[in-house]
Amino acid sequence: MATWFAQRRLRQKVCDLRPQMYRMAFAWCHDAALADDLVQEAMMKALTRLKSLQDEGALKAWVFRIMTNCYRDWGRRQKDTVDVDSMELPCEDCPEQQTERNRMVADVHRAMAQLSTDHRQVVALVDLEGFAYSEVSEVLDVPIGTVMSRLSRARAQLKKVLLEQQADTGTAADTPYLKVVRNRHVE
Amino acid sequence: MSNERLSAKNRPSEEILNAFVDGEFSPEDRLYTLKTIASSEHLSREVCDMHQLKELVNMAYEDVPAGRASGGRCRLSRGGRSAWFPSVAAGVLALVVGSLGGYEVTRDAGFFGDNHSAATGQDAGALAQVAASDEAPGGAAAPQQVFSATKTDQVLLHINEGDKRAMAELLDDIESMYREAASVGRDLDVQVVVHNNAMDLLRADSAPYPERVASMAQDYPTLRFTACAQTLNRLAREEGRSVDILPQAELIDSGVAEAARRQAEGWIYIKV
Repeated sequence: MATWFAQRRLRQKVCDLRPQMYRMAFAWCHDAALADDLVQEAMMKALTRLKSLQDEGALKAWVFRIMTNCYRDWGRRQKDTVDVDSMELPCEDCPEQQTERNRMVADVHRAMAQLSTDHRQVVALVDLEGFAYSEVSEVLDVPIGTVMSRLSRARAQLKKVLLEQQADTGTAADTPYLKVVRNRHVE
Repeated sequence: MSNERLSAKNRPSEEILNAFVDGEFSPEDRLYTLKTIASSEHLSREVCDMHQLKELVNMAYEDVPAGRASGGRCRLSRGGRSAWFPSVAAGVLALVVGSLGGYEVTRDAGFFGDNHSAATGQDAGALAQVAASDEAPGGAAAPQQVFSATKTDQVLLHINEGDKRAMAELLDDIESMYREAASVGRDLDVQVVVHNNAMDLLRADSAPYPERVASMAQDYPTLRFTACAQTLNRLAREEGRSVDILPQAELIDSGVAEAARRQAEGWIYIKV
């Protein structure tokens, strides 16, 4: 049985993960209140189940897996009433969206929101937290091959959506924050 | 850089390119893939696009809108969205039970209800889960009756290590226990047994939190801080002078013997 001090240390580590968990949860759902609730639920579950953790080194992946399950459970409860259209995404013409960076952030959020949940989760886990594919496989409980194919398709779709957004708003030529526009096939 | 187009057969798949971008390869495989990519301008641009996309996503979530608990503190309780959190009471309960998750708890009956004869910290956590997941019909919060209806809960906390952070957390947990007991209308007796390396907690000349001990002793009349006389005698011998304890602390003959006595009397024993 782990010692009390070891448990204390683990509990603190879980608490320390909170900012990262919140960022991940927000990237998944784009809803600050829901992200907060997700993190709280996941943290509470993690803290009350700490003794079931076998490998301390796997704590981070374990905690994110718990949060994944929380998100999945939420999705099951909400799937008849919530879709990406209801996500609280930044408006396009608010003053705060006028800066280049904010516009870019809003575009990426919109593009991410158009991904399926599975794809969005993989992209967020790899790009935001830098999880290795094997860890993402653990977190999402899917084979590594599935992680790779989801990631590949997700990035391809992200790229496509972002390019379309730029084309729609006519920003590609003067503000090419997504330089893939210029890097498309030059035969 | 060559503009030579790779044949479809030799061209790395999209998955492989993504894995390359994400640093999934061993150095040897990475070098091999890098050579392949470098041999094609088209592939190089594609990989560059992937890198940019990866950076773009990362940047887009650097500063996310703050949630309700954005202060960065670790909140063990929860509240808010009713669809998510069925019971505020369960959240508060989880605070206490969760905080006890690291202790070793033994007792024949009591603290977490009569149906749990020997509750470990993990069991306590599981109980918190059950409590948190129960919902009343219609999704409303269902008050969780954790304590039995009539008994006073008696908890002995036994600390013998000199870690100051652990001492502070112990005091936090005691306060949480009293708050929880008050919220469910239960009486609670808590005795802290201090001996060996933990004696600093109650030493008049080196206590890390003397004001807090004093205020807690005042706020919670059923809370007792007790110091092992044998440890104090040993310290006095080693230091060549008498060792005084805080005025709120009481002397007991032996910390270990006291712990054994209280367990025999049915107190919950928690080794800190």
